[in-house]
Amino acid sequence: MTEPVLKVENLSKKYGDTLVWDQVNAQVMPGQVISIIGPSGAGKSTFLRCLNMLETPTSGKIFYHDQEVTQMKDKELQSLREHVGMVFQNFNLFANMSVSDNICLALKKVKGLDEAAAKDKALALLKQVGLADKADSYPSSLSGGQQQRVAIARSLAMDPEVILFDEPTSALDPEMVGDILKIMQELAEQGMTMVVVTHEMSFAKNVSDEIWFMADQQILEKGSPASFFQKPQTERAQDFLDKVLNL
Amino acid sequence: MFSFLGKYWTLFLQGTVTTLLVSVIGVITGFLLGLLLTMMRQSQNKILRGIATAYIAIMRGTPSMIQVMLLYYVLATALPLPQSQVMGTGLDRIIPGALALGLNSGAYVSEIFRSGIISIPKGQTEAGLSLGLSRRDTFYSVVLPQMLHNTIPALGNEFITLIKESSVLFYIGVNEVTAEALGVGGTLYDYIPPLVVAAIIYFIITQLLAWLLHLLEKHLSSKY
Repeated sequence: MTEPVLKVENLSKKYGDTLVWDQVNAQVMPGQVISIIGPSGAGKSTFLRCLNMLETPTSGKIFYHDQEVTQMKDKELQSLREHVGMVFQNFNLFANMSVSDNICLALKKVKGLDEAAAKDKALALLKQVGLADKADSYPSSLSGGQQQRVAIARSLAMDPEVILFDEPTSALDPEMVGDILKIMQELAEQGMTMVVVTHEMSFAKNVSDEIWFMADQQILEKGSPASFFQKPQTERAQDFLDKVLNL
Repeated sequence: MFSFLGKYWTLFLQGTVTTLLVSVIGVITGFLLGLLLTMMRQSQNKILRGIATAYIAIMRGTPSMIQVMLLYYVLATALPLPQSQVMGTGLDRIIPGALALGLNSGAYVSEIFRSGIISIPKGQTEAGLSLGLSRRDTFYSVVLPQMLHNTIPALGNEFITLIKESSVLFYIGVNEVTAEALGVGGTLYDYIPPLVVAAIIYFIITQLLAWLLHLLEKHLSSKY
């Protein structure tokens, strides 16, 4: 029997007195692509950011395989984050470094590669995302779509087991969205385990294996895209789908 | 009006070199101390943070003239500083004087660095952490270089202030430009022309520094 890569038990998050979500349970199996969708403010990004402990949940447990993430100290968190990559809405490329240095930094500092080996790997990844010619450019000279492609390459450089995508296309010009979704689809086809917070319903529907619908301080529904989009179980989800699909 | 320069120009030259010397030492000390204080304030250790915060409060809250004089008298009594002369001033005055400038400036530099750090988006740190980098590596490789880059204009301002403030070293007998101008003025029974000369010298030095910083800024911003 396969074990989940990530597992969440009774996880709750409060900001002061405000409850973001309460007693959430969920798990991610190897190779699964999960889309987290739901209304703004439901805490989707917060949930995602708890999975690699960029945010600390208020109570409950998170497991990466059999290791309890919620107990980890700095050193263990570093090694967790090596295996659980993240792609951000605003790309967050290091502004003071060239594109290739953005990818090389963690290869050198975390993986211990030497300059030449890091550079080789960076160039191969840039080629994969179609940006080999931009290796020496600085992030500020790239378009949003290009920056996000570099960010994905940077994350892939660590050979992560899972990648968390936090609204990866929300900050992009519409014509750039397709490029990023295509790369993500390719990753999914290669068997990468992915958890994606997204507003791209076509991606959620066509690429993911499972939909998590977050609203009302819960994951209200979990299910296959086919069942969720055709027959949502709750009125809340039906209402959400009516609004996003019938524009 | 400036014919006295024929006779006294060597004094102004000595004073200028002394001003430059104490300023360079002050700027370097201030920069390094500012960096140290910034790191102390970033640290998880409460005591280090407390020391840095208190230090900054005291340095900003007391007159630099008193700081200079206190440091001079304390060091002069506590340590056997070398008496040898540099440009007509004993090292036992130049060292505490330059150091005092740096100790004062460090507090302001640290405040500049703090605002520099605040101005860097949190996402930069999060991106570093999310790749498995340590907080330390993220700070040194990502945050610190951007902070230095962003604070160059404000640092330039601080260093220009320091150069002008170095005139307070007159009070502990450092023969920098202002002291020399006052000396020459006393001899001539006319303070205005030598003070004007001193002012022009400060102006040239600070303009030169501003120009150098501008070049540095341009050089760096051409990258990102």
